[in-house]
Amino acid sequence: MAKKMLVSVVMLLCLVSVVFAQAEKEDAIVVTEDYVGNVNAEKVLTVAINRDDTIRSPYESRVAYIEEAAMKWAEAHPEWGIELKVLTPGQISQDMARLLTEAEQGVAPDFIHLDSFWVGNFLDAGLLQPIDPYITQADKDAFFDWTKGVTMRDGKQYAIWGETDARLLYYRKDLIDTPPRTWDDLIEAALMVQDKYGIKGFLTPAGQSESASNENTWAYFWAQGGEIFGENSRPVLGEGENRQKLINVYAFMKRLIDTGASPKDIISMTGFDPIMSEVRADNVGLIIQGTWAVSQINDIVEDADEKWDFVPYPQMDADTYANSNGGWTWAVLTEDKEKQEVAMSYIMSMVGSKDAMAARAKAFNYIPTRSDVFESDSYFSDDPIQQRFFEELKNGHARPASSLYPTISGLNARMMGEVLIGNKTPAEAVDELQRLALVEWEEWLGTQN
Amino acid sequence: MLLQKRATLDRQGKWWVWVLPLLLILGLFYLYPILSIFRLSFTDSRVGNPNFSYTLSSYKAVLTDVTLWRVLKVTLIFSLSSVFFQLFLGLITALLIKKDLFGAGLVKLSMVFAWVVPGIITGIMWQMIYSSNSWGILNYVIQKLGFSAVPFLSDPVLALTAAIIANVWRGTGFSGIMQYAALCAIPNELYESAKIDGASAWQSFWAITLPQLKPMLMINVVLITIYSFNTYDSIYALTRGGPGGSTTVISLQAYESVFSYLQLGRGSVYAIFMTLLSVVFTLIYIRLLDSEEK
Amino acid sequence: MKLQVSKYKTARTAKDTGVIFLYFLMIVFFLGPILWILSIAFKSPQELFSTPTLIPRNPTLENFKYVFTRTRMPVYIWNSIRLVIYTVLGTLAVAIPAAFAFSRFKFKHKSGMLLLILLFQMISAVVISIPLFRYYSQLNLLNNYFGLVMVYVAIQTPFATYLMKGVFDGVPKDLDESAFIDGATRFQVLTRIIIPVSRSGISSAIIFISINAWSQFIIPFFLINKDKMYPVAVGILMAQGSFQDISIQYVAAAAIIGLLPAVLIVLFLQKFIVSALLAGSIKG
Repeated sequence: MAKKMLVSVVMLLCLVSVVFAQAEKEDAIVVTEDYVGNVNAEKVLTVAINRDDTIRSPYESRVAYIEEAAMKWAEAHPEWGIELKVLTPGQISQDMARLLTEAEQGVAPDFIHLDSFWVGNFLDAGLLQPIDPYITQADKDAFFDWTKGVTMRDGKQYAIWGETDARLLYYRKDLIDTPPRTWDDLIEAALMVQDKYGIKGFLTPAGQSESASNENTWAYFWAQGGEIFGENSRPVLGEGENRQKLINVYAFMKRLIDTGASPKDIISMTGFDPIMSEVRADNVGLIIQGTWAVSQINDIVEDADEKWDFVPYPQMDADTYANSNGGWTWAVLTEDKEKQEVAMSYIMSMVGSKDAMAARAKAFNYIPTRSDVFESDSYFSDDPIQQRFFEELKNGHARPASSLYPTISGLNARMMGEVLIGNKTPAEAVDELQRLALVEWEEWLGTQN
Repeated sequence: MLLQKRATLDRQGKWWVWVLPLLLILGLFYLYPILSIFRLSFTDSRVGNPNFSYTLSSYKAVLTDVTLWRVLKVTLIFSLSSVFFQLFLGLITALLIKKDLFGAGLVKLSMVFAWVVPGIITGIMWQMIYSSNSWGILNYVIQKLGFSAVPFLSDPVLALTAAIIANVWRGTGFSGIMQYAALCAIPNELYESAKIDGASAWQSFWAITLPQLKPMLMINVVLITIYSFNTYDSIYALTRGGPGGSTTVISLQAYESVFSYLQLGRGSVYAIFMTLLSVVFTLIYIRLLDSEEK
Repeated sequence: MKLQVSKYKTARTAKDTGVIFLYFLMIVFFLGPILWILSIAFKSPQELFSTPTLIPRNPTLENFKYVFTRTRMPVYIWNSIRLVIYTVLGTLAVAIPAAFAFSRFKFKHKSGMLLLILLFQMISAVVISIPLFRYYSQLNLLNNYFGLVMVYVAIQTPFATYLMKGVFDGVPKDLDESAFIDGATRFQVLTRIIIPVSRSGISSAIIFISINAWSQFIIPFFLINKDKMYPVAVGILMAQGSFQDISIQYVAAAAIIGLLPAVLIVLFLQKFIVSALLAGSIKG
């Protein structure tokens, strides 16, 4: 009797476990905040990824896109799973330093999400794997040319640039008749709105941060034909013909403060929140902002359509144009070919293919990096604003893929600060920047056997 | 006989057995990284690049950097003002709380509140407070009072002052609570007998309170000096070391070297300098305390 | 509670009123910034960008909802609490015997050794994070609380030892002597006499250790890279927006949520420490 009972209990247990195992199997493909794919998969990839490309994104539309696209990928790759390591928002340099250290210790993720201006460091360290076998030539060609200086080296492609942005000059069209084209125009218009309407003139995040470089230096510098690096990553931004060009930029920034076109506050602005608060209060005439701000301004300003418009960056000369463009790239670190292929399939189906980029850019309010998306996806090709962004991207520039870029950018931010607070003249600051940059370069060169 | 016994007890016994766990933990988990810093300071090592060569170039680069003197100056101003005001405010607060009048509990509580705010959040918070924008409460009040807005973080002197205030705000709780604990431990009889001898409150403060507090003040001042030399997170979040490097203290410089410029060698040199600064100041404090006792 | 209140003297003299006024100033200085952040945490971006008021005109819980749904704040808090508890236990276990040795034994180079130990506290956490990562990667201790706590303990022990040595020094040696005469071992002297008598000093050490462990940032940032294992000080950053977002209201809400448990713990411990102090330190 007891024996019989034992047998039946065991049988029942077996049955239950089979049923549960079945249920588990059916339920096995998931998209969670730290995992994508089959939870029981034996083959698991790891990725370091931005929060906004996980279902933890604060935007519903982004979450919806990821849930759908990642699920589709996961169903197509049932033996695989991806473990997500979410990067910390706003801590780019710490995250990148950590990833570099992980890579050096051999514990890095299989593929990573990488801010475009950090790609150089990973390339120079020899950490990125070529991805040419996994993408078609047509896909490669579709990306804007200016992205290739970062994603390609020696004819091989190492990264997929997922989205970008452009910086623009936004202005109050109801107060300013002709949008500024030159620096002089800008200062004039800023002073005019101040005098006539009693609001702030021109705001830009010129504080000591990457913004000082990306929003306030490179576009002005490149439009004059300036170059940051020469052969072998040698910094040349403060010597030869470039010297005067950089001096022009610093002098312009100083003029903003001296003429009162911009309040002194811009010296400590390291982000856009303070600028948006003035926009919202109808208290500023001209601002530097990114392409993403179009929808934000619509959200926070009443009758935004009648008040705000944007134009390309003002430049020293009226007929020159340039933009500095950001965005994040995706790159593969693992040397395992099978993993490389699967990682690339994830990257392409979430971000890189034409369809994926179009869908993701729509859901994320991003700007595509492939010209074919702008040309043939109706959301972009029929929207006048998107087409104006497209025009802007034709003047696009990427920050150079050099290990020294973050260093040079940091020095530039410090030197611009020195000029703005009146510690140094523009010429002194540029010379000091060049001197320090060369010291850094020589030391760096010594480590590149 | 008792005295004799005490003397023998003190000399006998294996003191090191009691210290062993401490030495083990420090040795196993922390010593190697510390030694690495020392070694790395003599290299040109970069983050993410395991290859390096031994060289004095990191020391040379730090010592010949024209900004070094400004960094040291900013560090000393920041640290010494922070230490002074934290100690001073902490002591005053502790003495006042000791009076135990209505509201003392809330003072204690609010002091602790400020103290538990992590450094980065301190910086972010004070940035919101100093802002010239709609959420900048300080400027709002200033303007309500009829003055024009103050660009706290855009002026070199104001920005450094702002960073010191934020640090004092956060750190005073630590000193205050320590002093308060020490004050509570001073026997009341001492004050009572001083009163009988006709000492004024001021006199008994100098004759009783201060000497009794001295050991605690000593630990306190050493620690907040070390903390101040090592503070980078609140300044980073507040000003990023700007404008124009005017709030770049040595630990922030070390942070930038390692995390923005990836120069591990140079960051290590800064770490060594910071340690030396802490040691020098600790020795000075010890000297001061000893000489006063003589 | 009632007992506590009646303990306060009512302000009778002008001097007392002056002191209470100073209390008020201090509360404004220490609490003001936090109240302001609390106020921001209840505001929508719309309101944030208009004329400031301390009491939000249209208070919203959106920011808190955001923090709870988009970050793992409750998990971060729980992690921090665990880390703090382990660190306190670990540090006390190591620092108490060491402090006992420094207080009760006489040996050569004692003050030199104390200073040497303090050196460990002087090393910059920023710079050490990378060698520490390399070392821990070799030891296979990344993403491991044991490893992390050991670092916390190593960082906290020097100060804790210093502090408790001071406390133990204040315990009259006569007590030891009489215990020895009664045949107690050193261990018994420590656990039965010195520790009970030094409760208040030890509780203040606990507070200091807890708060320092609570606010560690760069070391856990490096040694832990699993979001699930982040402590609050790191996890709070997950509430930050990316570069483009308007996010200060979220950070404010996250800061408030992150502060609450720490404050509650300290509040609890503080009651404990004050009562321990009042219950009569042996020094009195």
